[in-house]
Amino acid sequence: MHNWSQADLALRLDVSRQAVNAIETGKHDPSLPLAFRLARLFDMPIEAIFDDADASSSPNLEAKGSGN
Amino acid sequence: MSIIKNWKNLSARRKTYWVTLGCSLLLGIALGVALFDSAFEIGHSVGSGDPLPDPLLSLSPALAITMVVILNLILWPITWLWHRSVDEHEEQAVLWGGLIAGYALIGLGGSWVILNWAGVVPEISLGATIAIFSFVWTGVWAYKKFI
Repeated sequence: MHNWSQADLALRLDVSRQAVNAIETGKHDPSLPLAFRLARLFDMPIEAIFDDADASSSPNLEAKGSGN
Repeated sequence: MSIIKNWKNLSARRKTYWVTLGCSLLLGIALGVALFDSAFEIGHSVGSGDPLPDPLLSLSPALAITMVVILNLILWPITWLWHRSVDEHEEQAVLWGGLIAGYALIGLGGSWVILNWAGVVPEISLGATIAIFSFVWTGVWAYKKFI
């Protein structure tokens, strides 16, 4: 896709290289403004930025009637 | 260094971030040099087993007032500008650091007070509690930002 280093991407996103690394490794969830910048930069829909890994395994709270 | 090499390409926010960090570093060095004589005297006493010098006599009032003015008139605006210029990832690291440092202060400081009531440890030291708060805050910030 792009042959950018983390430092290159950080410069384009106006964040630190550590922030890019934290997003890549899943340690930091980007805010909506940053996610929009990512989506624009990679020309992809914003929902593609967020990988909901729990979606397939999450319990159906409505069916269970969870009180919280 | 990539920061210096890419300085022209950095945003205004990132430039403010690095300038405020640089100013803080210079300020820290200046205050450290100003405190050197007193710190050396205290360190020498600790190392040699001599009694600690009287803190009221080891620092001149003029120097102390100058340092307090610098701390309050210069460091606060620099800190405010730095906080406005951190990115969201570092902001989280700073906030978590402060929160956990607060818990550490309550836990360790509270324990110290209770042990002091029982006569197990000497009276709580404000300098030590500030040091605990600062070290824990810095440690958590560094862990969340770099690891």
